[in-house]
Amino acid sequence: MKHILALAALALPLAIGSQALAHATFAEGEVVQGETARLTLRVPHGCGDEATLRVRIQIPEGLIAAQPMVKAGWELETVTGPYENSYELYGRTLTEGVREIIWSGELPDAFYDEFVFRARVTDRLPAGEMVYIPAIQECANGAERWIEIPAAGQDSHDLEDPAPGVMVVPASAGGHGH
Amino acid sequence: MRLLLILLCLALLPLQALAHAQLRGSDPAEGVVVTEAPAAIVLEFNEAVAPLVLRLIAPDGAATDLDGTAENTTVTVALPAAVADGTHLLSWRVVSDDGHPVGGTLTFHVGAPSATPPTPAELAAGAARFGAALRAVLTVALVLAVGAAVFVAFVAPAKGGPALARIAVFAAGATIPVGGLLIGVQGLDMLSLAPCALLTMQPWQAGLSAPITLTVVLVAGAAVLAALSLRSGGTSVRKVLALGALGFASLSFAVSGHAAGAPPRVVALPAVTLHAAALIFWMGSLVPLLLALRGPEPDTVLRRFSSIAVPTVAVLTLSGMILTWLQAGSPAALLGSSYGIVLGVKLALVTVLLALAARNRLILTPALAAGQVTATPRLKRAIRAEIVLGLAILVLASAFRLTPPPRALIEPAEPLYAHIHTAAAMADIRLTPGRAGPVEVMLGFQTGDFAELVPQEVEVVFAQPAAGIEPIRLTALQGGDGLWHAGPVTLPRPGDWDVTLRLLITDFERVTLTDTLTLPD
Repeated sequence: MKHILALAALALPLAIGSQALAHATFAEGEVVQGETARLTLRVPHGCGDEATLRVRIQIPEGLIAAQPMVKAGWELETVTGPYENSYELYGRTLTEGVREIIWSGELPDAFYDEFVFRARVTDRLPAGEMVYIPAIQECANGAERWIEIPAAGQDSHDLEDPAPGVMVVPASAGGHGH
Repeated sequence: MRLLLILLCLALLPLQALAHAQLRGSDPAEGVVVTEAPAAIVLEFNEAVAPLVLRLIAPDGAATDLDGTAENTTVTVALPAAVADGTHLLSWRVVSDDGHPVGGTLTFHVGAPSATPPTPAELAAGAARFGAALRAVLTVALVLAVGAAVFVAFVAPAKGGPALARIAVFAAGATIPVGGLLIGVQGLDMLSLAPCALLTMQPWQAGLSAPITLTVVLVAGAAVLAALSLRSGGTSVRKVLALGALGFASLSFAVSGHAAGAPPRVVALPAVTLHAAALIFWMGSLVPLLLALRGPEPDTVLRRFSSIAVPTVAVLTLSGMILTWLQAGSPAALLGSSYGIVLGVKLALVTVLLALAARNRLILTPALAAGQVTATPRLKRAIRAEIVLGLAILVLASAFRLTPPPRALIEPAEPLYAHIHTAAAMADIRLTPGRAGPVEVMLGFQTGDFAELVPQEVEVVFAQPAAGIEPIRLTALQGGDGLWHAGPVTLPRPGDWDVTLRLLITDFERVTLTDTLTLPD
């Protein structure tokens, strides 16, 4: 019986493709260089027993002009700051913008919710690589921090609290067609 | 409120199943002291789980795999009937609905926390002392039996008295059970087992595969030949059998133990054999000499003994010097080492013994030959003293087996230090004491380029995946000294432990440092 369970434990994660269900992840699998992407952060549970009171995401370098989608029952706040590089967007030069989005509200541990924002994917983000967007759930007495970014040669699955990420694909590949 | 939340969790299980299983609580709870061992341990999770591995690590470090039953969110682990007092660890691994295995370790204490659980090293050290004592008894019996046979064959003018034969044959017979037990005890030492394990096959099998078995076989062979020699009628048969016994007995010292293992073996092996042959003759002659003083022609016996004993002592001294030089390499290496102390005491005793022997040879033997009345009792006293000294020397020689002694027995365990250096951060780790058992963890941090680093939070994780010990998690807190402290935590076994430090640097940045610490035996 034990052996069967052990086998099942090994096989199941492979079978479902990833352990993504357990962690905070994005609903989208990929974003397209040079386009504005809509990203949906899925929050499956609170901190232990506790309800999530704040959700914070950090916009990494290369994602610009980020905008959160309003969300009923949640207060929105953004933190702006300088970009490390300057970006051209529709003839304007952007050197600063939203670096952090904060949703404040209440999400009981037992419930699920999604948090949406959009941002421009610049070609600073290399195609064919993952872009990781660290997220934090803050509760009354603790936090779940999905902030660990795999080092070179490391797999997201090796990390205890992996940051959610999406694959960057080149514009020509389209992202829609295949 | 809490109850409400738990009820909510239970009611909404299918949704909860999307998350990893988390341990909500246990009975007994983490770190509590229970007066009596519970019949079962109950682990309460946040979702339905199935147990994969449940391993109980007893205070003596022994691991037992247990069976558990899972019902909804509860896993019940039945404990064995006899659970020793002290600190126990339950290393658990379960799989939740998302297929992700999750593990952890629960610590609880029965009666009271074990201050220092006997580590495998201590068990091995106990077995080693037991083995050294048996080895001393075996050596004394062997020297008595073979020494008597050689003495009767080469020194005594006639067949030895019945008293000597009785003593020698008894000693020869004793070598067989003592030697047999020594094989099992050697197995205990090799496998770090408690003495009660002698009732199982394990230590015997291990002991039989060790070189000590060859020693015991040679000792038994020597004892049988010695007994046959003492019983045989013909002088030449007696001599051949006695020489065979001496050869087997001498070789028995060379086939095991570290003395014969010192490089170059071409020198060490003959040196050990000759050293053993000389000591067996000299020490083994003392009891027969004492008895011969009561018999006829004691002066003839003494003269014949002396004629062999003088070259024997030369062989003994020379081979002893060679062996010491091979073992130590330099006199400086002997100073202060426990090996050097044992050797120093042994050499002091040998010096006294040699002085006594010289007095016997140069003063008392001529006096006896000259017919002085007081010579015989003085000689008897001197030989008795030699026997006592000889016994002490044989016991000390057996104590060489215990040197260098296991550090843990003599010195309080030193702290174990480790340093992790990555581009992102550096950590200094100190475990006190640096051995298996309860340890305190102290941590200091700097950035990769030696600047001050004050993390927001620090988590310390110990795991020994090879031994199936699931992660043991600790939160470190910053003390007034600027260092971070965690523990005490019980690390139940020696060997390699994976240690992971998870430092929260900013809200969005965590640095994970990993290293492997080796806890000494």
